[in-house]
Amino acid sequence: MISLALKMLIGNKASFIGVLFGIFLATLLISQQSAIFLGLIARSYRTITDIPLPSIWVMDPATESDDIVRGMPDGNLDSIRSIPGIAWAVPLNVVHIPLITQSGNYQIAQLYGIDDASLIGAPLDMLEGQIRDLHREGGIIVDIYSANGVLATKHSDGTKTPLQMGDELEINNHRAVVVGLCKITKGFYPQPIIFTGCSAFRRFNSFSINYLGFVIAKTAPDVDTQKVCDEINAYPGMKALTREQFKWLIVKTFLKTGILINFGLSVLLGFIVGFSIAGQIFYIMTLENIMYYALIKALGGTKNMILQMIVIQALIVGIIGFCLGIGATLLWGLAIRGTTLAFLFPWQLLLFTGCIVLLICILTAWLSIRRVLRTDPKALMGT
Amino acid sequence: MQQIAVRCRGIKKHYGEKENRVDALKEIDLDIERGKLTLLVGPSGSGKTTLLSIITTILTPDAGKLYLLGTNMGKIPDTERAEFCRKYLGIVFQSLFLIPTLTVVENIALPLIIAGESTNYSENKAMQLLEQMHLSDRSHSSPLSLSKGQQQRIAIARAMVNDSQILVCDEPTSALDEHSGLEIMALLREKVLDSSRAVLVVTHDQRTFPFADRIIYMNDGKIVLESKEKG
Repeated sequence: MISLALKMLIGNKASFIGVLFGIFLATLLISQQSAIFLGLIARSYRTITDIPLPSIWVMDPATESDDIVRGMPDGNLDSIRSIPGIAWAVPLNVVHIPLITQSGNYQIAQLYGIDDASLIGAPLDMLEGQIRDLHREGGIIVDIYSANGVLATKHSDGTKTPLQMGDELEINNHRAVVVGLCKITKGFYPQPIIFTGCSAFRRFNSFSINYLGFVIAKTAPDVDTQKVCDEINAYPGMKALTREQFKWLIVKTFLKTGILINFGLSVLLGFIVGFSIAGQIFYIMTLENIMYYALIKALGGTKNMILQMIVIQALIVGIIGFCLGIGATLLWGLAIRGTTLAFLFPWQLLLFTGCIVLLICILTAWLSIRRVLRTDPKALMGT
Repeated sequence: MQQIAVRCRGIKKHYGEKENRVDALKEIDLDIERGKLTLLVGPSGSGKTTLLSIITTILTPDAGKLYLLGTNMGKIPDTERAEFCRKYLGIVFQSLFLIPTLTVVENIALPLIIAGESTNYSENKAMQLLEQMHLSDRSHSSPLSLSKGQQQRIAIARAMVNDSQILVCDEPTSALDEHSGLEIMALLREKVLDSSRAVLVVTHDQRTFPFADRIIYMNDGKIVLESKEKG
């Protein structure tokens, strides 16, 4: 019966390709738009991704992300260090700060001030230079994308020279020297990401002398991180979150922009377009074959047999269309690798898209099954 | 072996209700024997297709009893009836309904595949029939590429492939020219009919009459005349 169902499906090439195209389009739209959305979401919490060591992030209760940070008093660091179960705790300051490039362009950069002693929070993927060079006077590490992009020196003939080791920038009217170039996870905004030590950070950003952006901490082995967070939260003016909790807080803040609705609509559109095309053509294909289904009934075929045939047909186009759509999405992902476009394709997205495509197949098959089961072999007689 | 292949007793069938009611069959009593080619003839609306539909169990009678090979069809459940028809009944429809996306041999093998036989066995059996029909060279063609007469032969082969003991044909010559029509009737007489099989043909084509062992005339839902001698 499987081969019969397949031959009836593939035999009508135009309809087969039409249904396949519908499922392919739905898969492509759903998986690609979702991958872009997830890519953007992942960019929103890039700070947490790039600083994997701490298990606890402590901040002012008003802080909701690493973009807009309300400072805490310096003394909070000692309070956190004194809590049992804390293995270490270091400051991490983050601020948006103006800078002027060598060609005189004005930019707003995100400046990270990391602990001078431990250098925890420094970029993990150094392309040039050493992290310890941050101890040099005015030393900064710049992300490679900005070094090649907005921070590059622009010449009058339109060419660009990327920012290089030893080049100088003016950060908030203070001289800064590039001592390293690093690779980071791209952020949502295309602003330069700059790392420096806490002491240099205070010089660059004179408002932060007695304030802390974050305290990042690690709990000792076998210590319940949530319990330690609860203890920190008992202090006034501090909010302690685990790595995952802070990630979700940033995501929630990011979703307030309405981005989920926009991409959700794209996914819905993919579902509607895919179902409209696949469902309609599959139904027409079933109608074209309706007398043959009646024949199969007349020759002793059972309802279950016919049901199986239609389900197999819907699943076959579903599987092929899904594989083609996912393939196209992954190819697109490969093509945009290294560009500024966002793309993230976790296995859960494969499952999510698969479920929606399965739903399209079920609805498509259901439409046809309803019609076929109503077909009576009587229709074959006297025609 | 039961000599009577089909036995109808008091078969009634009507369509519509009240002022639209049409009595298509009015107490039909009929026996069809194995080894004989029986023609069921009559004008349009005489009830022959309705009777054929009841004999093939596609329609259920309002009243009366239908016995196929001695089994009362009204007494067995739907699933068993479908199984019974799959084993013992072969139908050649007026419009043939050869599936265009299947090859000739696959079309013939269809009843066996539906019955759950392996594709290999079913297609081998179909090939044997194709050889009998002198169409083995067209086994992998699309049925659409064949002439009407050849298509009719394929439909007959499909009805025979399950070694059906009752074979019914609905107007097998209606779409054929005289030569092809006579060829089909000769085929039914010489290759299809044997002592274990009953062949029932619904027709209004008088050219087919010389091939019959028995001709049953119907009019207005009743059997009005029966010729029991060949020719």
